[in-house]
Parts: sequence; C-alpha cells; structure tokens
Amino acid sequence: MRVFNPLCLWDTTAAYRCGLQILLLVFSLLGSMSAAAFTKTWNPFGYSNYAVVNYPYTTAPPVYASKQAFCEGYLPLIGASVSNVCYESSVGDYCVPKGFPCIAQDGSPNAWSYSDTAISPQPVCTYANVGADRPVIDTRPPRPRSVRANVGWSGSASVCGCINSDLQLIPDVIPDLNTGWCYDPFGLDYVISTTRYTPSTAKTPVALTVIVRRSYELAPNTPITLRVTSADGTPGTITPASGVTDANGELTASYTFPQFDKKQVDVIEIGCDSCMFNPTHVNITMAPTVVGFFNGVWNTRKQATDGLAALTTATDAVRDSISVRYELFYNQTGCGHVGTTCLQDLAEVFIQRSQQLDGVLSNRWEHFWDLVGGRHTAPQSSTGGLLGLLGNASTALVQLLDSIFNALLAQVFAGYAQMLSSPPTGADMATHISKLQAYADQDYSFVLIAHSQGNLFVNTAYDNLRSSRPNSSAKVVHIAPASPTTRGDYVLADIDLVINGLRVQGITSVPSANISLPTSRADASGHTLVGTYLDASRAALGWVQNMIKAAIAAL
Amino acid sequence: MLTTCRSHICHATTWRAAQWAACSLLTLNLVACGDGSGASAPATDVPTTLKAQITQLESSGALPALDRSSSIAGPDVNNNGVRDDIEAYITHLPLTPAQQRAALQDAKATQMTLTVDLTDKVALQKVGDALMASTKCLGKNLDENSSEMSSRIESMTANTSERAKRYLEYNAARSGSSTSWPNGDTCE
Repeated sequence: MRVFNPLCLWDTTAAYRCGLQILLLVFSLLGSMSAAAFTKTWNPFGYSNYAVVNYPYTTAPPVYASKQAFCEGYLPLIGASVSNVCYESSVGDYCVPKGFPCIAQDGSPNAWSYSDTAISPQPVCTYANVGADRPVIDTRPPRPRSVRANVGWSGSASVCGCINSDLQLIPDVIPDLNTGWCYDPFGLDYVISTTRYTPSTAKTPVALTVIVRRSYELAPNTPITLRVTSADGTPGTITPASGVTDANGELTASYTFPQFDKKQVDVIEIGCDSCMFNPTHVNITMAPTVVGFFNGVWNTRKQATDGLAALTTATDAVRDSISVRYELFYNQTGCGHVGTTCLQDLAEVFIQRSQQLDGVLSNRWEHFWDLVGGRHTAPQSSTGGLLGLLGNASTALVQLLDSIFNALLAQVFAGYAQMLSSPPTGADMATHISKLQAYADQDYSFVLIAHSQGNLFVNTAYDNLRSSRPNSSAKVVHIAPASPTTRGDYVLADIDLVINGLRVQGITSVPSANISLPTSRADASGHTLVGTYLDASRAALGWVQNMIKAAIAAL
Repeated sequence: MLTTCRSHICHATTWRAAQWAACSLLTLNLVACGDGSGASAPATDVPTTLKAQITQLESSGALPALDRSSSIAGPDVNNNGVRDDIEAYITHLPLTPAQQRAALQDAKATQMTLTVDLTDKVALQKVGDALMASTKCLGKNLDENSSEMSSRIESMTANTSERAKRYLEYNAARSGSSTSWPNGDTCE
C-alpha cells in the first residue's frame, strides 16, 4: 500500500519513502468515519458540469511516446513501463489519450480508461487538460492534501475508487480523477442565522451559508443542491435550489418560513455529492404563537367563545401574517363560594329579584343572560326588544331590570373583591398551566390576553409559565384589569362600571383608567369585552389591537 | 313578506314575529317596533298587568313565543337538534340561506349544552368544539351581527329556570377547560 503525506507529494522520489506511519495516521483518522467503502461512479464530483470552469477540457491530449511510460502513483494497476500510456514529469503525470487505455499489470483495462466508452462521460485521465501541452492528471493536489492512494477500480468497472496495493477499496476516501489523488471526503459545514421561528423575525429570510472543505482547505466550485421538505405541512422555500461554492468554498442561500398553523419542522437538505455526510440536514422548527384568552369569570362558555371570536378578528387584522393559534382558557371560579361558580352566584341574585313585579321575570331567563351580558338596554336584545314593545307600560319593568342589574353589579363587586383578596393559585388552574407548558415545550410562543377577572388568572398562568419554562417567550395583554399588578400593557376605560365600582367599594389598588370612551347602549356596563373593548365603533378596539401587535412583535 | 325598519318605525308585515326579529336584530337605534300606527299592542282588550301584556305580545307574534315548559330539551318535532320555537324564530329572520344555516348550526350546538352528559369529559369537549365551530361559522356569515345572534340564541335556549340551571351546570363543568379555535371552514 502506498500512501503519501503532503510533503511526499512534492517529491515523487521521496514519496516512495513515505511510510506506513503516515498511512496509519491517516487511516486511523478515517477509521472514525463510515466503514463502508466510499466509491464513486464516473463523474464523481460532477465536474463535467462545473470543474470545467477551471479546467476546460479541450481535445484529446498528445501522446508523448518518447517519454518513459510511467504513471506514478497508479501503480500497480498501471504498468510501470507500458509505452504510450502514462508519463511522468516533475509537475505531473500524463495519462493516455483517447484510444489508448491504461493497462493494468494484470492486463485488464484501467477503470479510468477513456476507451471504456460504456461509461460516459469519462473524466480526466485521458482528456483533462490543465495546460498547454499537459493533458492530464495533475499529480499536484490542492494543499493541504490528505491521503494519497491509488485510483483504480475494484470489482465493478463502473466504479472508481481508491484502492490499496491489494486492490482493496479504501473506506471513506474519495478518488479525485481530476487530480489522480485520493482525498478525505469533502467536509460540509453550514452556518445558519436561526433554526427556530420567532414572530419578530418571521418575515426575515433565514440566511444559510454552506461551506465545503477538503481537508482543511475550502473547496470552490463544489456543486451543492438544496431542498426543503416537511412531514408536518407545506414547507418553506429556499433559494437557490442549487449552485456551486464560490472561491471561498461557500454557497449562500436564504430560507423563507411557510404559513403554518401547528408545530412544524422543515428539513433543509444540503446535497454535496462529494461530501462525506451526504446529504446534510438542517432542521428548522417553528410553532405558532398561542393567542390565549382568559375570560372574565361571569362569562358563559359561549360568551367567552364569542369573546375569543372577536379577538381573532381583532388580532388577524394586525398580526401581519404571523402564524397564530387561538386558544380559550375558560375559567368561572374563584368568587369565594365553595361549590358554586361566579355565574351561579349571579343567578341566585336573579332568582331572588325576579320574584318582584308578580314574578314577571321568574321564568324568563333570557333577560338574565341579557343583564349579565350588559345587553339589556340594547334594542337588539330580548330585553331591549320587549321594552320597546311595551313602550310607556314598561316603566315598572325598567325599574325592576335596573334594580336587578345593580344587584348583579353588587354581586360582581363582591366576587371581584373576593378574588382580589385571594387570587387564583397555580393549583387552581393546574390544567391551564399544564397546557401552556406543553405548548412551551413545543416551542410555541405566547400572547396571553385577559379580560376582567381573567387578568388575575393570566397573572398566575404567566408567572407559572415563566418560572417553569424560563426560556419560553410570552407577553401579556390586559383588558379591563382590576388586578393590582399587571404583566404587560393594559387598557381600562373610564366608563367601566365594574372597575369604577370596585374603586367605590374602597378597592383603590386597581389601575387607573387610560382611555376615555363614550357610553353605548350595546353595553350598559361599559365593561364587557365584545360590547365595549372590542366595539368597532369606539377607540378601545384600536388600543387593544396596538397592544396585541406590539406583544407579537416583541416575542 | 318580511319587513325593514326605517326611522325607528317598522312597516306592516304579514308576520309580526319576523317583523319583531328584523327590527330587533337589524336596527341598532331602534326605540320601538310596532305595527306602524305607533301603538305598542293591539288596541282592543288591552291587558292590565305586565305579565298579561307580555303574554299578549307573544300570542300576537310581536314577541317570539318561546317554549317555557319544564322540559330541559324542549320540543324538537323534526329531530334536527334545534328546539322548534328557536328554529321558527331563526327561519323567519330576514337572513340569507347561508346565514340561516349558520344560525341553526349555532342553535343546535347551544342546545347540546343542555343535553350533554356533564360527567362525560369527551362529550363535553365535543360540545365545546361544536360551539367553537358554530361561532366561527356565524362570524363568517353574519360578520358584525354574529355576536348579537349568538347572544340571542344563547338567551333563548336557556330561557327557563330549569334550562338556566342546567346551562349553569354545563358552564361550571367547563371551567378549567381549554379549547382551540378551529381552522378552516367550520360551517356544516
């Protein structure tokens, strides 16, 4: 087995003295690689397409019949004294022109023989031209070089490999027919600006630089292919899809995130035909932003869903194609009465009050739902419609409804005060926290939006999320908060009867109102999410949207 | 023939419930809906009590006559999952066919909240998903009026003591749950 170290390469005489030590060193290094023989078909580096840029093939090389036939480095396959086959000079070896196959010592055609026309295109040996009169394999490899072994064939005539003196293929070494040398496989490396999607950088293409090295040298003109696949959905795009490395051995590309609605992993496949680990894969993980809504505890599940629907509309208008996933985190507890929900507490008030006026409302609960929703003065509501039809006859009913509404508000104040004095704990909302943590574990980011008492829940959820998943990215948007502390920006209207009522009750720790709104019959309370804060005809909607937009941008 | 409301006055119609519904749903600044004469109720046999007045409005069709039986599910003769009185209300609203289907889908999903087994978490989640789907479908078809329609259907569905109690229990059972907003077209 003949192997040359880099120093040997410049001295063909000394090359023969280069010994086993270097061979062992090199192959001990290579031994960590794949044990499979690294063989290449003809056109091993694709340089029929690319390397011609630097090595323009011209015509069949001339034959230097007068020179000593010797194909240094290819022994023993090529006979040392076969005429008109290979030649040696101080700068390189010359191989046979078309029609003059190299002949191995055993008489079989050499694998790189140009005459082997069954294999096309055939590189080098016979028709590479690196100079005016030197057709061939330039035996001076790029520096630094690694292993030099014999290029020849073993087994299949269509395979060119690096073989040892026993005609055995050397594992993990690449034959370069352009130089006649065997090399370590090309090494592929890459630099990528990010492998994780974040909303704040979602529109910025991911910069990918592919770097190819041969041994320790950068490898220019190396063909690279790029492809994106995903098992989860429509993958993003990468451009260019193919190219060659530049003079610095680099190819730059950019990847653009796709639209997605659940966790998705895109795989960028970097193909480098000459590289050891071919192809190389880069995973891009992405997950939407969870826009989570924490409702006020006097909302029914349907009302909370309606609130989420309004938030989707408000958010979709400002999220600027950022992928989001909307989620309702429904809560109805915490008002202090064991065994009953906050809404059931309100129902008790209605049951008591509806007995008045000869029980006119006792079995007309549609008015209860209107009152709870603050819609009882809205003409579109059941209650508003009834009052309109009754006209002047409705005075007594109006008074009754007002008294019930006030009683309900009083209950709301009491329940709210209870919640403020004893906010929900992590244990109270373990299911929601677990859900958030599961999302965080999948790289989801969060914009948590809370309304009314939901702000107390969101504070607890946010604190638990940040403590248990400190690397998670989360922002909070508070709407109509009464909580003494907030975790993000908030909006609170001056007409909010519920929050104002808390102040009257002596609870002064509530935030200050920061927006002035006109009253509306659509929401007598000035407090509901859809009726007031997301009302398209009033300014709070834009305020909320700006907060959501800022929160997304900050993730 | 249905009607429209202009200048706070609703014009004559052949079906007063439709008139009432159209007025109440479509006129934001509506003060009063009547028969166009300015009277709130028929001129004859004016009832003397508030209860009687409301009953008369219902029997006359000026107000939708909701079922107020003690049955939680209420009548559903055609077995389509929507209570008959609510179905009648929806089908007489001046809605496009797609809007009407969306409203009926929401009514059906809301009705499911009264009949679902509250101990069956899988069933509860299915109802929750159905409500999400119907809410999204309403929004797609009724735009800014969807919230009003959703609220109206809810209040009409849980309109008696028994139904309200059951509905409160349903909501209590859902406390602590989380549900994702559905993707795609959720209309049935």
